[in-house]
Amino acid sequence: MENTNTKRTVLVTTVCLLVLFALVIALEQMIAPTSKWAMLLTVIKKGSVYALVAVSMNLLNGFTGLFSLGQAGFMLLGAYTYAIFTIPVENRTAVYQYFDGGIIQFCLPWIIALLLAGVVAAFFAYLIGLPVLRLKSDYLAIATLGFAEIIRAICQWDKLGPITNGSNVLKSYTRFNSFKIDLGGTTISLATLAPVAIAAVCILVIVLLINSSYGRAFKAIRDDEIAAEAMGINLFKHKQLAFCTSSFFAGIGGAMLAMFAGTVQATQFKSAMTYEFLLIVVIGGMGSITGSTLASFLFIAASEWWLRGLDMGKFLGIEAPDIFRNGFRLVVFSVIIMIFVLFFRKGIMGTKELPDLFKRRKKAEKEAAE
Amino acid sequence: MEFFHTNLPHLLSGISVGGQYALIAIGYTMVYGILRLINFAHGDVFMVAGLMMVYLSAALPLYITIPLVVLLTALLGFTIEKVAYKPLRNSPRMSVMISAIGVSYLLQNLALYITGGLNQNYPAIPWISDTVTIFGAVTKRVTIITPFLTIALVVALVMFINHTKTGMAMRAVAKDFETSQLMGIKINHIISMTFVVGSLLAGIGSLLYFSNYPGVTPTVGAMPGLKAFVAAVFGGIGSIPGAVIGAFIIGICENIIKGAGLTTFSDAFTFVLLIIILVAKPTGLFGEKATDKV
Amino acid sequence: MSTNVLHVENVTMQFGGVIAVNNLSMDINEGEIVALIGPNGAGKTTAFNCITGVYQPTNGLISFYSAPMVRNHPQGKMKKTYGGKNADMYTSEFAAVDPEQLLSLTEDAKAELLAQEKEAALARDPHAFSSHTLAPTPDHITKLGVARTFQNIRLFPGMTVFDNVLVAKHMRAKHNFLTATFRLSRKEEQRMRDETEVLLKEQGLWDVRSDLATSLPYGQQRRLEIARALATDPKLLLLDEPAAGMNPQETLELASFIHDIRDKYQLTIFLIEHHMDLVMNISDRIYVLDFGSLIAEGTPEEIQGNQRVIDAYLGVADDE
Repeated sequence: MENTNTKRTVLVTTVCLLVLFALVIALEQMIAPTSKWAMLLTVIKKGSVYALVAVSMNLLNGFTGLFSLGQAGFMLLGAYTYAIFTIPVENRTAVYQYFDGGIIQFCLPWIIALLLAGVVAAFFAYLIGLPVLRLKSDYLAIATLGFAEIIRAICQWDKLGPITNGSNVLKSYTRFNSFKIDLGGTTISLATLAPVAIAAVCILVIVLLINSSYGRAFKAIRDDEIAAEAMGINLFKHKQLAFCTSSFFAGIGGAMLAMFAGTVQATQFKSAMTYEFLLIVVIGGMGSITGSTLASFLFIAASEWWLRGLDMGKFLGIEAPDIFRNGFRLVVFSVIIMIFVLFFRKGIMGTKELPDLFKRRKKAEKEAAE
Repeated sequence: MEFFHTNLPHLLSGISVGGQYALIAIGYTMVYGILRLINFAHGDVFMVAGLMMVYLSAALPLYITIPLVVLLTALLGFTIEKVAYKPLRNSPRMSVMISAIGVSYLLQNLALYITGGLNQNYPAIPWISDTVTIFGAVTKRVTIITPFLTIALVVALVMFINHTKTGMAMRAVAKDFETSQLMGIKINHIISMTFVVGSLLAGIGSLLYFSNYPGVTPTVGAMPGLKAFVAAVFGGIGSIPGAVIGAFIIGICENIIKGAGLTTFSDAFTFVLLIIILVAKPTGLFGEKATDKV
Repeated sequence: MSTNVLHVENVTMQFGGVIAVNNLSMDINEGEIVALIGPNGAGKTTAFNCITGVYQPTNGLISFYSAPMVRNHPQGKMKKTYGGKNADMYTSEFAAVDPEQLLSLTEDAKAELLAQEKEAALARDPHAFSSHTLAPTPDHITKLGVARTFQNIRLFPGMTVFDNVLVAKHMRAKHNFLTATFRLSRKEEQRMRDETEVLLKEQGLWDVRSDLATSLPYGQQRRLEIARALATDPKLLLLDEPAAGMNPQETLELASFIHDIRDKYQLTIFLIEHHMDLVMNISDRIYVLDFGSLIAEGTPEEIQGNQRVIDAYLGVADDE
């Protein structure tokens, strides 16, 4: 019974993913860049990136019970690693104009650079974890927050300019918009599919991890460290694994953000960014992958699309340029978030996942039939 | 002597910055001592105090503004605790920390909205903003005053904690939350007091800090907040003298590094210090080792 | 003589100025059920925590199947503040001999006794006279084969009954992070699940397997905690007040249950308990702690008649 079940799960997951990918391609073809629905594509792209990072943060905060605030720092490492290694050699003189074209004079395929982005982030996480993860988890929060702030400063240091381009932007590397295939004359853009597919694969891996024996060990640590240790779970080793995995995917997420935005600059990755992810995780529900994914898309849709008017002087047909001016959207956001934190502590999904919702319905149907 | 002369200005400003960090660090360490909460919003309270000074001083004379700002800062700390932390008293600690981050995010965004993200010029306070020359080093008078004021305030605070009933209650709550409740200590009152004292000092710290710096931006609280927290960890979190000593050490080292032309690393230094202290002595200089009951 | 499972030698646990366990020595042999009793605050749970690695004892040696497992002696600052007995016994040549006994001996007999003791100590632990510390984390000790339950039940509240037991199988599973994540070790996972199923069925918890652990009634939670401990494949099981909060009927059942699991899993059992009926009923031997020190040891009959034990429990009138 167990076996057929696994096969069915694999089948259902594959079909769902393929349908999702087909939908995304179709959507991309249907929506003209000038239509008012073009924003939807942006939301899907950026939402995918945010979903991956939020899920990676949830792996740590929601599933392992470690409070880390380094997401922005690890994303920065990922974004820089990706950008540095994928700028074509011929463009380097222009990008590194103040640093004689930089010292790296080769270019990696995007997929290698993407993986490398994750590896670099995970490596730094490992180094921070060595001293900090043996201590109470409070220190992890402050150490990672500090790390994120410091790595941002160091990236802008002009002595590192030949590698990081100092405080100037990195650009003209492979971006999502350059993903396309030629089908006998017609070009099909994969600019939206690429982020969705990468994020989906990564999130799938995280889901597999969470449902594996190691995932259970992580949850045990979250629930009761002392009991977990008494069950033979090595706290340090497992915390380190969770922390490095989470940072690996945050690094990939950072690289994806670079691919989405087209330019990378250290000043983007402020601690406010980490806070956003944390709050997405809370809104989605700590310990729910579905929740984090859903909340990411909602967050991006709201901030990039639906609530834009709050910054532009006109919202829901009300014109009040004095109130609806730059920054108001973020204030509204913060208030919504505080409402969630204080009154809806479980978030949208609690600890439930998508399949749980179906299960409950099935159960209800069964009971009704009886 | 040569070394002394080149480094004197850095040393002076280091002591001064250290004093300002100390005033912020006390807020962190006291709140952590009692609630085991890293109050991520504390750095932003400090920033808001700066902004209030900017806006209020435009309308009111300074002799009213200064006490008013300090009082309003204390009120802000009090309100944050009542609204954002008290309802979560029985939730997991992580929820409260998330709430603190939510407050920090809210305060930063509010400040961004109100200021439009522009740098706000801090008003010059007569006398303390004046320039003085000491041992040939030119500096603002606030640089000289800060350490003395800090030490005076800390001594007053330590006296308050060691010799008043409220102070005794604070120490009891920090030692054992539940038992002190059973002993009839009004927990909520003590926690409010802690936030009021912490914010009050952050308000004074902000007066001194911004008199020395060009202006206030919405994210200006983050770095001093982080450094003050590291100072608190360095001194042994929960210990007030520890936090003060830690803050002075960080302030001085940071400015000497800046003086050596390595400004980028003055911030990185704080982080390195944090890692070193966590590896070598996680309980800090004066911290006590807590044993969890199994 | 049967095999020695747990050997505790001069273990002292000092917190600041408080000595919670003072110079505790004891031995448990294979297949025994041994109880540790004593009034509240006598240091019983602290002793457990020293054995399971939650605390590092201030002084002493703990061996498991004759292999040193935990060892520490006062060092650095602790040397000055150490308040327990035998501070220098491992670091000097004075071995574990009662100082009063030492006084009554002649010089020759003293030297001979010391030499014997020293040799015996070295045979037990080659590092006995060095400052070599052994401070494994609790998971290492569990891996060696020591499992425990907790006085105030510590189940994983966010996990189902099934997962609570399954997670205890994680430690001995033959897989690594990648094979487990990418489902390359399905057989291993299946084996773990099968074993968990057997355990849960035995404990009568199979029907509630998908409930959250903390939603179970109290008695079942205690059983689940024992099942979880058994899932780590222990050789020695430490039970911290297994009958706490149980009614007389349940306590009676527990007694036969403990016997059953001992026989079935070939365990050695060491328990802390307050229910004297239970203790006297199931224990082969009993150790009694009072104010951190061992005041008696023996069979249940011997303990029942021991005046010091009775005094410790009932108190001695002051006016005597």
